[in-house]
Amino acid sequence: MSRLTTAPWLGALKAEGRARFEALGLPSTKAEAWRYFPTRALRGVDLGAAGPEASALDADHIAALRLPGTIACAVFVDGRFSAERSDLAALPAGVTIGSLAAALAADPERVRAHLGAVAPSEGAAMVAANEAWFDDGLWVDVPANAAVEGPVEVLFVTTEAAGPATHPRNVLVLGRSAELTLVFGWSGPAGRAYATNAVTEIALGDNATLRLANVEDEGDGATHVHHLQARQGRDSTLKTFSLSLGGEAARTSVRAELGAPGASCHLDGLYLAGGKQRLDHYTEVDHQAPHTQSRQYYGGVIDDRAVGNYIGLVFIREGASKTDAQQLNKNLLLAPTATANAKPSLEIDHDDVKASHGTTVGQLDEKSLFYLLSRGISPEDARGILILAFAQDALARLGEGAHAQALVHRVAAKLGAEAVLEAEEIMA
Amino acid sequence: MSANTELKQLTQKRYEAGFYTDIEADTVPPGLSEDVIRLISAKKGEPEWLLDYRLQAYRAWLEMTEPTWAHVRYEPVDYQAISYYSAPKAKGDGPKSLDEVDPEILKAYEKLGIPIDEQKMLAGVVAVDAVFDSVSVVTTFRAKLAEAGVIFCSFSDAVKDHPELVKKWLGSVVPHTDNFFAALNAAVFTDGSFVYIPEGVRCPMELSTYFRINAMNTGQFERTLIVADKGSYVSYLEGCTAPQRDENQLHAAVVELVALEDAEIKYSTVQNWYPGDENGVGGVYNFVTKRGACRGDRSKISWTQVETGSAITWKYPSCILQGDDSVGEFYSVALTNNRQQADTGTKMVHIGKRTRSTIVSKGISAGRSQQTYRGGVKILASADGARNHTQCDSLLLGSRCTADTVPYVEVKNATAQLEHEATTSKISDDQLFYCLQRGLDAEDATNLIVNGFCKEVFRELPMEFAVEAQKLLELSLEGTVG
Amino acid sequence: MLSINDLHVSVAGKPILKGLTLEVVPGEVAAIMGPNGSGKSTLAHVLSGKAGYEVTSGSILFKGQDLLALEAHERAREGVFLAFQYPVEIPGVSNAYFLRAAVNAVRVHRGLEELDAVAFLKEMREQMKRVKMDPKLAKREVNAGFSGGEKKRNEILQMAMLDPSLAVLDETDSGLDIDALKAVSDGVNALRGPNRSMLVITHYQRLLSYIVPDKVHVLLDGRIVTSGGKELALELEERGYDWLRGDAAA
Repeated sequence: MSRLTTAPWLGALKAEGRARFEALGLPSTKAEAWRYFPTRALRGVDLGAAGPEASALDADHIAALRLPGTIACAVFVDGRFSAERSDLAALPAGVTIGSLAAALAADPERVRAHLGAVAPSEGAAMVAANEAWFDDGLWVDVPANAAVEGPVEVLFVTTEAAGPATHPRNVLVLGRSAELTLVFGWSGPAGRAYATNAVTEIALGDNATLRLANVEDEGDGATHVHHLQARQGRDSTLKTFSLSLGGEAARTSVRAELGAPGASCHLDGLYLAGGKQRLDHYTEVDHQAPHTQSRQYYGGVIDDRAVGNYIGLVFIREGASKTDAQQLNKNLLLAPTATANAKPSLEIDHDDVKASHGTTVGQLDEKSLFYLLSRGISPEDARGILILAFAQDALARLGEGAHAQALVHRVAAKLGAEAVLEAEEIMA
Repeated sequence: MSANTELKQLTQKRYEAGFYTDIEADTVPPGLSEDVIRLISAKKGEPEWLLDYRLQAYRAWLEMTEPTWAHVRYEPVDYQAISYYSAPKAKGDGPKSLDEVDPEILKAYEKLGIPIDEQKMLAGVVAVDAVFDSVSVVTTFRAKLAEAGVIFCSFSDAVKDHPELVKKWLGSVVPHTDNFFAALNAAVFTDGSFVYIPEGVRCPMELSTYFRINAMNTGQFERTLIVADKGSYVSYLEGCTAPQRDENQLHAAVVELVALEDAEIKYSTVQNWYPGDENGVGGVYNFVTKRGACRGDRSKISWTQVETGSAITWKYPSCILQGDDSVGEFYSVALTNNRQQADTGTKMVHIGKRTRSTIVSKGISAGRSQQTYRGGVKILASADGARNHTQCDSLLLGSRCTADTVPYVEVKNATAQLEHEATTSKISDDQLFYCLQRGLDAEDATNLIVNGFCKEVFRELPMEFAVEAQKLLELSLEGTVG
Repeated sequence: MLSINDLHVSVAGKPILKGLTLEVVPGEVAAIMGPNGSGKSTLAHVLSGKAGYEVTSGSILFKGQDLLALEAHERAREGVFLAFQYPVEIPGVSNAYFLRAAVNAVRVHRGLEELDAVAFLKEMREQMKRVKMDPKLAKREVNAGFSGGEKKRNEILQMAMLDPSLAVLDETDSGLDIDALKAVSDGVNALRGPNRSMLVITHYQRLLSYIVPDKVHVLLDGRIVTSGGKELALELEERGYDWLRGDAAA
């Protein structure tokens, strides 16, 4: 049973999502955007099965997940907002960060203007599934000229009690000259198969700035699909950082629509894939207006039999003069059995633009490794130093603050290079 | 408004090397046949083996067709209308020293600013081989170089004095069957430069050759061969100019470089053949085959070129990276203006283990010119750990020129690491206005922007030539924005 | 300082400015606000001499001389500085080299000696500190790879170095986050003085909380339709521009 408001327009929207998903079916690897991602794990999963009405979660569990330096935290358990576990007292007056379901109950017309409008489900099967079955998600409403100082954390936790799939729907609305930094954290139980299918819609007003670090660290049996889509106003700035660590198969896609002059986006990311993980990143940047700028940097560190993928599309539409687009994907393979697929592409319908893309796939540099060994550094540390250096090229784009530093440490720990990082910090 | 008019005035600069020197020449009548080849060979007093080589090449050429894949359009060349040999008439046996060189020729080089008078030069910075039409007229500093064991002479002298070296290496990198123009060159080449650096020797000065086409209806087919023996180093520069003429002139040269173990060759070109006028009348057809073989382990060949001349350019200086850990580099600035067409680039063939190559290509198109970057990177199955970095940038001046990028990548070894970056941009009114608004005038602004674009390549040129290249670019650019 | 009288300007035959009249006295900071397409950027470009703008009638006097008679680089040398809305990248040219070329072109014009590299770098480093710019950016290529905030700070640095008497700031605040906006505003405020006037063109009222103007002019449909003090900006943020449209038509 959904706790959502039963407004007819919402019912119609959800019915349309369901019809579209049923018509489209699960995405297949024949579709260019999904060619490297194994949706077969979702086959046979009842994506529409109802989850628990309310899941319990210890306060300690949340405390362990929280990052330092964040000023507030919204918690979602099995796809539903938990007021009890959230800590939103520090938000400035006028800024709303909380439950989408609650916002739909309180001010449905305000939500309606954005829900399903930024990321329509047409032709997008997983977005359609989310639209059909979402119960709740994050609602953010920052009014004009309001700047939230300090990052706000949003935790999406899946518990043992969760249904086969959760579909959080997040809607973020920033007014003119508003500013916000968010950190999403995705986590779930180990040793259990479950699916997360999230959609985040972002409406950025003129001159607004949103920074969003998305940390995917799901359990090892998870299939995680998260689509973010932004519609950007004039002079607005979107900065996303997609850090992928967990899950059996995880995919984070970002589409930025630079619809007005002066809009810019930075889509960055880092993925650390080991074991048999498949970590997928897909981006689309749509330059529709003059003087728009995009920057992308995705780094991949891939070990064992894992697969890391990056597919990036940049469109520069007719009339988008003085556009400046850069796209870079670098991969480091740590084992001969590891695979990186990289496919950056540009589609340019306008001259008088600047666009570039690049991709690299390589191993650790033997010469550098040997150099370090010859100076007495242990083989483990030498590898750690080099891998961390590679990761830091991407991590430098996370920005500043204690939360960013904590994430760098989490990456270093996963790479087995924490000692190296600590030594570096002491020297600095 | 103002910026454009100023720029337009600037563009009217003429081709400064476009003069003609009136000297008496010994020229073979136009046409190509086995008899002509025998005649050339006889005039040069060549040994039998070289004549055989030429005839073999000629017969191969007859079987070949002119390539059409390049992105250039030109009137078909009538190979029977070209004279294949022209030499300034020598007094007696040819000049023994500078004093015996025709003063008119000396004047020509002086006018071009090329130092061939040893006395007038600062103590031995550059040794020069001056090639006038088909023959080398003078090579400076031969004695000084000989002390170091370096052989630097005209190709004709090399055939006479060092036949064993020439026989061993001629055609070893670019076989006479390689392509249509290389075959033609092998059949009719008349002169060029020869360099041999013995084992362990670091050539004490820059070597350089200045090519000059002077005579009318003459093709220039020079051949350059540079062999760097184990552990040696040489930096070599070639420059080229031609008079301004309404007819097209054919230049089909072959350059072969061989680097043995631990040897390094740095080969720089400042090419300023006559490009034709603003309507595309006249100009040199520059169909050149340049290839270097890194035969030895840890050897290195580096091509740097600044190309501003020629009506049509068809040129791909390449590296065959055979030795393990060998390195190939290609740094290029190509500027086309008016009706010039250039299809140029490079090819890096990775055979040895851990071979590395770097390609940096900067194309500047102005006027109604047309430019294509054609670059190939081939990683063979044997090339474990090979790496390539390619950066290819195009700058468009105005809206009537075109720039295309055609990369070919073939990888047969999974451990290879390749990076490719490409950009196309326009020198925009915005950039110009930005400079003007900060108080710079239009000429300074354009030069600042274009030189900035080329900086990565100029950095690779020997110091003296970097300045020259920069000046040349500024000359060629005049009046291109508007 | 600046006297614009009944200025009419067309772009590609289309009238954009339609009788703009504006007076800026020495030392004054005047804000120009207006909705998209009202002619704000056109005004900035006409003042600095960008190509493509046709002045069909009217006049601009700058320090008593006919500004329209001067070429773009001459205006710069005379002391008109434009902080660009979209600062332009010049790859391969270092920021320091570019700025020194500009500073010396301006100095020679003003009858001053050229600055040698040492003197120039010393001055540049001091000014960079004032706008909180990373000193590394001096060696980097002009605006290439700069973030939005760094580009705008670089504009203010150039302004400080070129010492103009009239600075036109064209949407210098657009796309900046709060921290960058504060740094840029501090840099601009430090350059306020009795002999320097500023024309601050902006889309967003937020800027005017940091650079407090002496006057606010509203540009609508190619004309100044109303002028007032700094409180006018707040009113515009509240009410938008539509309530002024009647005046524009009248």
